[in-house]
Amino acid sequence: MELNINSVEDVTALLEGQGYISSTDISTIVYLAIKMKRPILVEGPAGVGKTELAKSLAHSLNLELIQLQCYEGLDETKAIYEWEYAKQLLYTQILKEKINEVVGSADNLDESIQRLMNLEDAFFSDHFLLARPLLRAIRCDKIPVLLIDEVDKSDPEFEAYLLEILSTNEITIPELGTQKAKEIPVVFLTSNNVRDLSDALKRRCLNLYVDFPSPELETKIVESKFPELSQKLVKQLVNAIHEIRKLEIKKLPSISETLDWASALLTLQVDEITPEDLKKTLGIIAKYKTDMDQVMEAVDKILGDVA
Amino acid sequence: MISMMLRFTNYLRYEGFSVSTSALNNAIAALEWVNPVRRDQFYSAMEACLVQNIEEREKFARFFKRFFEDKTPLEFEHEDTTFRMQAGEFADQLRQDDDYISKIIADYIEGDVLKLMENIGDKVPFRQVENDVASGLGMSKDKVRKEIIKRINLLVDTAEDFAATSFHMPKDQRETLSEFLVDRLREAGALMKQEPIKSHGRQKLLPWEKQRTISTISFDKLTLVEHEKVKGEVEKIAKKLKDALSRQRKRSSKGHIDIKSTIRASMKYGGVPFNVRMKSPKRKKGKIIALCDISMSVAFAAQFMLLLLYRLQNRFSKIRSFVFIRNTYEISHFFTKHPLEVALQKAVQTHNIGMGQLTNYASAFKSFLENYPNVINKDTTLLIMGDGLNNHNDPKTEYLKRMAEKAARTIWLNPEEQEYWYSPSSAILDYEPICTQMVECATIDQLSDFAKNLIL
Ligand SMILES: Nc1ncnc2c1ncn2[C@@H]1O[C@H](COP(=O)(O)OP(=O)(O)O)[C@@H](O)[C@H]1O
Ligand SMILES: [Mg+2]
Repeated sequence: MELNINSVEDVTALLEGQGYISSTDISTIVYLAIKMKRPILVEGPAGVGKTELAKSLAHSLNLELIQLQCYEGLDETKAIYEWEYAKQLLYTQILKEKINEVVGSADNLDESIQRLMNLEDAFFSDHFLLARPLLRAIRCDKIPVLLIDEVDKSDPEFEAYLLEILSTNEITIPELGTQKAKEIPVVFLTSNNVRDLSDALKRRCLNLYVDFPSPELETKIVESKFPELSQKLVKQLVNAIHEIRKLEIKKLPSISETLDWASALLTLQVDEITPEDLKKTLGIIAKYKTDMDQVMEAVDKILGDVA
Repeated sequence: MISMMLRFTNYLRYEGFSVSTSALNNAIAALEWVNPVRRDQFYSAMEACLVQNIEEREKFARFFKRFFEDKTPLEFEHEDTTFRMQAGEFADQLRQDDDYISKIIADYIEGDVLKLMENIGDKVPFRQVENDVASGLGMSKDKVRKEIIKRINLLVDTAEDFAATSFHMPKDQRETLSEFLVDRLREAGALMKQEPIKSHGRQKLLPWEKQRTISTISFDKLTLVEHEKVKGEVEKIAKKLKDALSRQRKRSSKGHIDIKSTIRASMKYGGVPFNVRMKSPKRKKGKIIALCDISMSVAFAAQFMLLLLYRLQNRFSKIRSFVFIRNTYEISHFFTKHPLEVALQKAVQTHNIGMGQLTNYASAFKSFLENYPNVINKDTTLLIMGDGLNNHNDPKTEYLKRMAEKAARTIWLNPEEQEYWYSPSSAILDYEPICTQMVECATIDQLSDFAKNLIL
């Protein structure tokens, strides 16, 4: 199966169709990843659209999205597969009851054992296998988008499994053998850089750094989500956000904050942001008290001539 | 296009920007899909393949621009045409030497990086030097290297004279010119005597690299603020190495079945051993003896090494640390009594070992052997941290020899850049053959590489 994408521009158009405004960087690397069948490691601050990128791509191509949310302590049984012990146990019980039927007519011990062995194979079969996201992605008949979100939150040990699977595109289940990917998934790994990932994993991936967007890109994003807002207001809003990002505050506002703010201003039916408006909506853009104070101190700069 | 890719990565490596083979392969594979004429897409693709750390993006951007777009040295941008012409004049003078190396250097001064790169580690300059030197036949590579250094030093003198007598330029511009020429010459020299590709570590900060990244600055050039940052970096390295170790252990843990634990786990399932438990094999740990020169020239580097060693101490069966200038003293007890930070300070500061004096390696090694005769055994890795500046004292190699014979291996960490190892007041030339290995350890990157090799 080949995805019908033939240029970087195709990627941009597809994403835009989902309301995701892409940059050259993003489109080029997504395009390469699809063509080279390599995972993409998306790094960048929170709220710049890393997760959204994978989702939008999946939707635009009408591919199944398989998401693995990483966290500390995530292990193979939650990420790859797990045997369903309870079901297996139940099966043992049934087997116990039926054992006479199974073995009954056998003439000798050898044959009895042989019959039991045949049954045992059923123990470790698909019936009792609980496939988790990574195995599901490998088993998909159609190319899926595999989103391994916030991989930096997982433990280094887990990273090693991941690396193995991503490099070989197969998963070995000791009892069932090796499962080779039917179609190589489009893989996105995202990271907020809580922890440095291993060099080996980075080398395996195409590296995409998504930073806060340029004013032009951010304007486009806001416009596409809130076409009702006046051009003048969008300009003032994007300007303000970019001024705020220049401050030395603890948590810089991200695209999600920009969008939330835009939505709030729309509700308040503001057509020019005044210091009072800023004050009212401050909680959306700044999360800490000290950050809020700093923003208010720089209010003139942030709101431009209007203030 | 592929050969251009190779040249580009060589250039990156020369700038101290490490490019792994798999990254290079990725980049070459990507060429099939992006058209270099679309500059922005081409750039994005190269960045995605070649840049592995966010912190290196800016550097990469500069190197990319420099390689693919600029053909002139950055310095020229800030200076006027007189400066440029005068530099060109010097280059022309070099060309008149009618000597291959001088010609390459002349082109390099005027901004032709490629030509010089084509000759990195190549035999051409070597052979040239061999031909030039009367006794050239059968010269060892080391000798040839020294010959190149000698030649460069000569050119440096010439360049300084040339700049100083360029009287039609204002004084500060003359100084800038002198600095520029000398820097270029030194870079060229460093490049030419380099082995084909030295993938890690670097010779020096390059003049156009304005933004300092602490991972590549020599320890002795750190400011106090940076010093603190480096400590943070060392902690990160320690953590990274520990992660790597635990990964490795996990991977190699398909050891043998742990019967006890398997049976215990099977109780849950009516005695059916669903969960087979494995016992990880024990790894043999070695003993570390660290001997650090803590005279001014080495003190910082020694601190960082000790910090890293003690952060990784679980990896070793034992660490004992010693410091010396003229005599050797054990400082291990500080580390058992105090938290690491405090211990480090105490170890370097309160010891009455004659801070401010000049190092004497021979007497230091002698006193180590006399006072701690049974410390080294056959599991021991002996680490010596020092720049080998012996201040014209007799190196008396027999002491180090005796120590090295008792140890499993002896690794000498030199915080001095390799290019300066063999100065007349240095005893490195005498000590190097005795050691299993002598490694340059001037920057965090190098320290990290060394530690990786030590424990993985
Ligand atoms: N380029 C973009 N185009 C459209 N919306 C975006 C873009 N980038 C981010 N967003 C919006 O910002 C919000 C946060 O994005 P998300 O993917 O959750 O961030 P991250 O995963 O990087 O933390 C989402 O609601 C998304 O719709
Ligand atoms: Mg996310």
